[in-house]
Amino acid sequence: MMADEWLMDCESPEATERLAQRVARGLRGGEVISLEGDLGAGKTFFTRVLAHALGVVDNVASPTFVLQRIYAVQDGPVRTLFHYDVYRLEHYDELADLGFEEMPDDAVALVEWGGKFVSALPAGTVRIIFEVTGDEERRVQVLNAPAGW
Amino acid sequence: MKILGIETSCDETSVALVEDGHVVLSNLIASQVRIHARFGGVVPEVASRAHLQQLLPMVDECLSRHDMSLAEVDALAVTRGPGLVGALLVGVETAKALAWATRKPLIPVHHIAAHLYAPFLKGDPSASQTTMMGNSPTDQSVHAAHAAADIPAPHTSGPTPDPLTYPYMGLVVSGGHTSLIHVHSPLRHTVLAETVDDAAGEAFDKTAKLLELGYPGGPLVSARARGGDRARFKLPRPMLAGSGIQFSFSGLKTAVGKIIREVGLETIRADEEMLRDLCASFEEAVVETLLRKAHRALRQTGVRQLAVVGGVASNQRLREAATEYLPGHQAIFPPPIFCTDNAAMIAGLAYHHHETSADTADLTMNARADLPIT
Repeated sequence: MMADEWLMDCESPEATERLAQRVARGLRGGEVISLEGDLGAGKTFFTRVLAHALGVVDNVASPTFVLQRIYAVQDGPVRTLFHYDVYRLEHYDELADLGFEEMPDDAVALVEWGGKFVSALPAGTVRIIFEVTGDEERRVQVLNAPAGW
Repeated sequence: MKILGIETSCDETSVALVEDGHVVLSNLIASQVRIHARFGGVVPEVASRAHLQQLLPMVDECLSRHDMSLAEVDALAVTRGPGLVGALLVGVETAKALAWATRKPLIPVHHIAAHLYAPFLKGDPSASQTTMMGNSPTDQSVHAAHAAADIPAPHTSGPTPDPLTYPYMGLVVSGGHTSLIHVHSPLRHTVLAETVDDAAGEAFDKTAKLLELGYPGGPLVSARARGGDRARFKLPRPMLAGSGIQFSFSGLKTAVGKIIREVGLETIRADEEMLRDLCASFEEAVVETLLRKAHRALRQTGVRQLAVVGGVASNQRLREAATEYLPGHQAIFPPPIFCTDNAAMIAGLAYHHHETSADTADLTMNARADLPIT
């Protein structure tokens, strides 16, 4: 499958929400998504919307302190959502130690600050990069998006 | 009954000896904050290695202070969770090995339940000792953080509160937790509210990062905030509208980011007064939100006393403001040494596990990063 590259301007949080919902609809399990951008750019916000669109019922809180949060998905092809924050990790091995490589096939991983380990992440990793262009405006770049999205 | 406690859930290695659940005979803490400062946060792998290096010598030191051997200890207690799994494992596996070698009971303790128990600890302040691991920092900001942390925080102003009695409300505030917990007894808890996004301590850390103040954010922002105009910047009081008691601090960080974009980081940092006022305004937004929600929880449950525990409970403004925002109620803060992660609270609470049931573990017990409170 051909991979795509997108660039879009989200003029409001609602536009970012729509993007997260669209990404959620395209997920089949096995995807790894790296979320990149400065503090406050909306990485956790994006994850929360995507999680709820997938069918996660639990509240999606910041993974910063605990490094990893795991959510069950109610129904659909994706059964589990893994949410990581690797800002404080020094080496990719530390992510592997958290069980990143043993994720089941029907799981999806969202990795905040994944850009720092981009060469170690699986080849198909999708990168979503948020740039703050205003109080509510974000420029979002999606690299390596599967053609189906 | 003397219990030896071990705590390694995050970046403090601690070993304590506590008698009958209350009397702290020794409480040794090795803080890794200097080691992690250059990374801007706790690095799990680095933390685990430092725990491994520190723990057994600290057990020896703790016992030798009282001319005791392990054989004279009645039980071993250890933090089972929640926390960083690699860090927890060092404590849990060490405690298991010591318990096996000495045939002593092993008592797993919940870290948050132990924080909530901290107000009951007593003992000579000299029994507690904090050692800073790592090289003397050259970074000014870290110096400032320690200077701020060393200032003894006062107890609440106003009349001395009555001794804390069950049931009470617990406000747990730290880098990883922000929750309101109804404490029925030492071992029985109901979680009433948590943060839906960032923890209060995390908001301090992230704001410090946005303002390039360094790590750890709490003491650094507070030190800058001293004497500042707390009303100069209008920052949101997240989720104060309505009657809910859930917390949300992510929007506060976003609001600070917005001010930085509008005014410019260089301009703010060059203007000492503006930086001070911004830090003070931020701190007040956190403090007011925490205390108003706590007040709401007190009224909703009819509970009279609030115990504020966890690392952020050392915050001086939070202590001062407690009387102001909690009319008709009492706020109790443990001394700062028992607010930080420490093993005295672990050994203290373990006594109740030991007394009320045979809450001991066998050697198959495992650390759990997400251990729920019961």
